[in-house]
Amino acid sequence: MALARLMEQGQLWRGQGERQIDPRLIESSGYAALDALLPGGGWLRGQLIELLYAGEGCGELRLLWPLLRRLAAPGQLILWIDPPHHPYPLPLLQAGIRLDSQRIVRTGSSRERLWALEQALKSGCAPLVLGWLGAEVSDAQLRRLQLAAQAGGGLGWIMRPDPVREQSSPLGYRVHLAATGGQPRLALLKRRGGWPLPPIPLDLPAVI
Amino acid sequence: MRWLCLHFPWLALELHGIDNRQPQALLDRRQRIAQANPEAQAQGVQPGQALATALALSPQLVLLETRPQQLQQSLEQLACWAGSFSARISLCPPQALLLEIASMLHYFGGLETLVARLRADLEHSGYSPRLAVGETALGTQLLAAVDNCLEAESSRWWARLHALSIEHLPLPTRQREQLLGVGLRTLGELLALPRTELAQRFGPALLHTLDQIGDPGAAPPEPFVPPEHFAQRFELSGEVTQAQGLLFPLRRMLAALEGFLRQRQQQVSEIKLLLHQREERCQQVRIARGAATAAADQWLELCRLQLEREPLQAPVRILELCAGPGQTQSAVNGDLFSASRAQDSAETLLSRLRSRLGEQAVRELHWRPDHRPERVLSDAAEPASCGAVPELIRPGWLLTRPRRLSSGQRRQLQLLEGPERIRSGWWETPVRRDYFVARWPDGRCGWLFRDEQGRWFVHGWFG
Repeated sequence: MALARLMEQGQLWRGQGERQIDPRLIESSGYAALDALLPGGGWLRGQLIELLYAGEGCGELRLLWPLLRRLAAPGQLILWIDPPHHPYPLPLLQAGIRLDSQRIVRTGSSRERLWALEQALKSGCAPLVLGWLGAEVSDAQLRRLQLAAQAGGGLGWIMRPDPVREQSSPLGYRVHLAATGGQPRLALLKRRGGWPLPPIPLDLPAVI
Repeated sequence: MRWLCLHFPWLALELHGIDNRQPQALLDRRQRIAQANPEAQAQGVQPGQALATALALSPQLVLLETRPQQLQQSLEQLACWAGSFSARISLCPPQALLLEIASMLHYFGGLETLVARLRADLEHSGYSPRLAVGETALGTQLLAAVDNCLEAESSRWWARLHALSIEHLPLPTRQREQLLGVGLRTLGELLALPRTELAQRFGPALLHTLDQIGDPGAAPPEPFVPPEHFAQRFELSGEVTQAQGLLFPLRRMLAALEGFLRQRQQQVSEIKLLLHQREERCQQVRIARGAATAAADQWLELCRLQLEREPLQAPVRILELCAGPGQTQSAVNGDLFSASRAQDSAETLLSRLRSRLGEQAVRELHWRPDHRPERVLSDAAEPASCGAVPELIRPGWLLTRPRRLSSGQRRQLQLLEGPERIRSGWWETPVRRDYFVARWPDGRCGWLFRDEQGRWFVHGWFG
């Protein structure tokens, strides 16, 4: 009984065979090609997703637009914690994303950044938390954030620089995004309930 | 009516907020021990001892002095706090409170739950009270002064009351001695005597007192009327240099604020701490919250965060708490059947972030129809108009300051779109820029412009 429940919540993965994850716990990524690769058909809520990319401009925001559009409901908060630049409101509006849910949080130190992330993740009132962290975050700190996300039940995105891919990750998902030759390609380096996968081309909204 | 009495035998010691695992004693005016807490008594300190004897027995003894005014203040603070539990509270100076609870028992789900909640709350604030419930106000008060008495059944309660010793009755000392001299020991024996005889021998005042103790219909004591505006002051027993040291007295004050507000069905959205220091200096700490609340633990958390950020300028001697104007509590609480796991409301989270990181740390995102990209960065409160969304190509990220590109870097870029000419308002420094979308060698897309001098800058990224 307990085992069955764990499998239903996506906490337990059996190496082979189809599993049924409770669809209420799944948040579609908004890209059919990506959903097809994610067990359960989307991101599992209460998890952190580590997004690695070499520098701003490779599609990291456009990847999030479907989530931002769906989760920015009235009374909900979307927190951007220490983004590297200022989010330009016009493209968000053009993509049909509500601005009144968005909050930009600026902290002064990496300690405060981690604190703010933890508070936001565990509060349970922010369905989407975006945090930009550097390379120098310890596994223990990430695991702590992961627990906070589980307690809050929201989806947390941790953006980190490209070279981090050499280190192991304690988080549920690790995604790498690159735009080589103008075509955004996404690689699932780690996913819940599945093996790592090679890069796939992704149909992000075009720049022009 | 049904009464609950909270008797605080150690109030004069506990009001100082010192850890009660330490031996503590109260000094009277003649520098003798007036009261010793259980910890000190275990080491042999007894009331009436000379100071030197007490210190010889217990070298770590903390000696405290309490003015009657302080005692009254903390009793009033407790009365405010008790507003969470009862609408009718009376002070019984010097160290007891009387709560009318008949109307509240149903709300709290029975006497046991109410008593457990009272006890837990008081213990959390560092008080150890004695509790008694009963059918007459004075009788309950006398029982609480002696021991805990939570008899729910009427006949057993009366038996307890009648077994009360004459020594504990509120009578003049001479009269008490007279009664003891006659051979009377308990209240029950006294009440069994014929009233006319008692009046003849001991005067009508005794009968009046006995009526007060034994008659459920006797006039109830005067209710405590809390002040119109909440403001409290607490003299710290020593100078406090660390903000941590303020939290304990603050917890008591905020608990009092909560009771004060709950009784009026109000909430506040702002409180102010005044930290009085030496030489009449005073540090003000203002703590605001997006949504009003009465909850003490939420305010305490915000205070803690704010005090962590704003260090104490000097050691603090007196702590003062003022509450902003109360707002009537609107719709109570959330949706019972909501499936959300939310532990906090959005306002609680934002208040917490602002308290720790500063008022300016959390910003909203607005769009104003202005063609100058930099205007996006300004946070001026302009009416955000929600007109049609223009079909302009704009990047997801805007750099706070444009970054210069060298001509070598520029040559590696592939221009995809442009130019789009943007001119600044004529009333500002005139700037004319031609914006382009370009692809970097690694495939990333950026937004760049050429200024009038032909220099190239990156101004955004198509994230």
